[in-house]
Amino acid sequence: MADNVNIQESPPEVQFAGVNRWLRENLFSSTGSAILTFVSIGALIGLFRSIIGFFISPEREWTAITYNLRLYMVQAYPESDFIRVWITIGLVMGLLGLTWGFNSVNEKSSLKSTGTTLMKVFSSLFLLVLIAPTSVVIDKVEGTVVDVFQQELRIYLLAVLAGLILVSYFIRTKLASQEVSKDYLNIGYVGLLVVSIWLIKVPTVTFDSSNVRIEPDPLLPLAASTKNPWTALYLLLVVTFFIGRYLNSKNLTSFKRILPVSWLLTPLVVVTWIYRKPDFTLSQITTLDLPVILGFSAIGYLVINYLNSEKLMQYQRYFVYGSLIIAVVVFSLPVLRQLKLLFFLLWILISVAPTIANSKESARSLFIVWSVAITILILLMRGGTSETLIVVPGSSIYGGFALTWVLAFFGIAISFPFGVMLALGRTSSLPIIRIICTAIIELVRSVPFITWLFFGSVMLTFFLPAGVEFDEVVRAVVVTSIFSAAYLAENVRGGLQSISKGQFEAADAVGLSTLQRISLIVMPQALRAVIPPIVSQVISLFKDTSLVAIVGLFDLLYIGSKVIPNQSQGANFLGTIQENILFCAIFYWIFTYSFARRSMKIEKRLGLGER
Amino acid sequence: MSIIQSIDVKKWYGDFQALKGITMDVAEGEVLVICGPSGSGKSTFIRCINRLEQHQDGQIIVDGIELTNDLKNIEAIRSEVGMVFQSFNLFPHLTVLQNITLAPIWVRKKSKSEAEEKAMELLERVGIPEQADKFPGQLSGGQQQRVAIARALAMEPKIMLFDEPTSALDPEMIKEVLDVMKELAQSGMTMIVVTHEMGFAKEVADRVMLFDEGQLVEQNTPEEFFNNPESDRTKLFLSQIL
Repeated sequence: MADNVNIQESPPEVQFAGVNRWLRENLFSSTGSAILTFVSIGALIGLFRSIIGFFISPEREWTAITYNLRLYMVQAYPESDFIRVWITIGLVMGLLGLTWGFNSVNEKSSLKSTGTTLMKVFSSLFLLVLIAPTSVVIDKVEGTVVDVFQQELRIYLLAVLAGLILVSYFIRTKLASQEVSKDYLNIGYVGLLVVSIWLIKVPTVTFDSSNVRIEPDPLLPLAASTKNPWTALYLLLVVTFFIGRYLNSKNLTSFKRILPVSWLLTPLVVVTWIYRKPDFTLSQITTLDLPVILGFSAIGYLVINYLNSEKLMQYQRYFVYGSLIIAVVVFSLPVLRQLKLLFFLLWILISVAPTIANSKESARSLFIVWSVAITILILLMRGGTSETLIVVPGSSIYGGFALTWVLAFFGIAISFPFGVMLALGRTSSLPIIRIICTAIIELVRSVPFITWLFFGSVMLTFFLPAGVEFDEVVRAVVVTSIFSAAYLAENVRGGLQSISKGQFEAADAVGLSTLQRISLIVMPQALRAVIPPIVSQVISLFKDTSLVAIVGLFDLLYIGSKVIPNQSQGANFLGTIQENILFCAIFYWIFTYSFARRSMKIEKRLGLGER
Repeated sequence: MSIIQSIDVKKWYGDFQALKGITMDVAEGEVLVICGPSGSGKSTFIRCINRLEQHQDGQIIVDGIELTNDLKNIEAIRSEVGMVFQSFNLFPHLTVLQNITLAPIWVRKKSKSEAEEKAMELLERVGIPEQADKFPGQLSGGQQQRVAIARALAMEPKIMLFDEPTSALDPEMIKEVLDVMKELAQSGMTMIVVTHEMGFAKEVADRVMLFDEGQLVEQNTPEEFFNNPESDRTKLFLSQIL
């Protein structure tokens, strides 16, 4: 008997019972379900047929999109400065490669899953080609029928796809045990994309020397004018991936800190220096910025090293209040914006330095962080506050997808910390902070986003000190982030409420300070609990950026719905609104869906501790 | 030399008076067991000792520091007093090892390797070194409570408070936690234990107290307390639970 106790039985293997049984159990289990199955399959086929018909109908002017891709991406950004756009993308690609390589865990993936994915893709394409309509009605009144899909082409495509399905089936079954590095597989997938922009040809509008449109439209590669830079960027991605992996193998821990900081700085450098062409002279930096940097570094040095001495410690409170008053006074004076910000930062430094810089070592690192931070800040502001030398028609050098990107990125990046602070403020035990935060949240939430956009665009100037005026894009970013922060704050507050009282008590009992309790115990758990609502908020913020068209900015959707359908010079795209809106929808979908997929993965990974 | 002194401590929840003037002291190295029916104020009292609850009248002096609203005093006392809860209250988003090293790293400013070394030592002591990299949710109740004890010990406290540490456990797991606590008591730790485990009280305690309706009814050595209880309330209590 005793011997039997430890015998572990393995669970019975679940075997796939065959297509017939699966169909019977899942689709045709009763008469009712069989009817339902047939009806829904019929409806789906009908729906797909009409959608495909819409796409391939000769009425569709898809050249409106291929011809205007540049407009969609950067709007009126002058061609002579395109190198700035490419440098921007290059920076991101380089960092992406470094991060990817540095964090690569050399995960292996069996070819079975690859084969399954390929099979799913090719089978879906096969089905789509199979049900595609042969002809479509182009004039609803007269009922004119036009052939759009020749039978030979269909058979040819079906044969090719069937071959591909067979190949992927072969990979799935015969090569299933083969393992490949997931990283190489992903590099390969991106490489396929790059190859496809060379190979896939689409109709494009071209003009002859006397500016007359050449008919019919010739077929040119998808990214005819940009395929060289894209290929170079792909190579950059691959090279930086291997550099990142090499650095990881060298065990450079300092690089671990440099990476996130670079990610944080890149967008700032991009919008203040690279994407624009700041107008300044070198003497402005040497005579204005350098003394300021040195001066504030020196003040910072004194604060960090001497404020926590016995003698001055008892007056620390007065230093904090004094520096705050100075900061407020300087803010209302007509001085450089750099100075206004620096005095506020100095106030923060004076408040936190005595507690952080409690040893020689931490004082030294705090001083380094302070000097580097103010240097970067001053230089960024020098670029950002100068006039741009790039001349574009309209109110802003940002337009198209570049504008959507800037709004979404900065909207999210600013609203996140702001929203978390609002949530903490609203749950704070300090009454004044609680009332202020509650008031901000309720006020912002109860007025429509568009109203706030108008407010930012038209009325904000009245509330700012004289002479302070922000770019239209900056105002839109500010409004977007504040609006989103209010909603985010409520989501985070929901997460905060899900943390049990015991967690607070346990954190207190081991002696954590309030700040440590919030940042180490409460926030990580609260944010984890509200990932799904935060993700849907980020997605809706990304889409809501299209509303800035209302204050005169040219975002992606505005270009698609108003600008291109009204183009009548050169290529005539009057009335191509259906194509353009559809393109915008697909464009938004690609971004938001990949974002949702990514967050699902993150959620799965973070959920580990909850089991 | 008493390490904890409590003088006429009173505490109200709204109109309900939970503590009606508790005066007692605990000597260094003493193991004190507090028992009593639910709602008698025993948990409230030990939670006052590290200021998880605020007393409204009277004085509590821990290791020479009086508990007031001064945050510095509270933090100083909390890092001297370890606490183990009925519901474990481990941090679910951190591994066992991270749970234990968190406070030494952030409060005591120890280096990570030093804190981890100490944590492994403690896990060895409570008998579950192999669980170091698991998350609390993957452990049994008894194992979680032992991790909680290790977490409290990692701060090298002078005093350990146990708030019904075995009440949420299956009978089989109670023993493994009590064994750890016995070992701790023998090592000379000052301990205040709120529990219904009378076996533990008989075997380990230096002194046993009975709380009822916010008052300290009786205190005595375990032999006297269990064999010759003085008050009727104690006799009734013992007859009901033994």
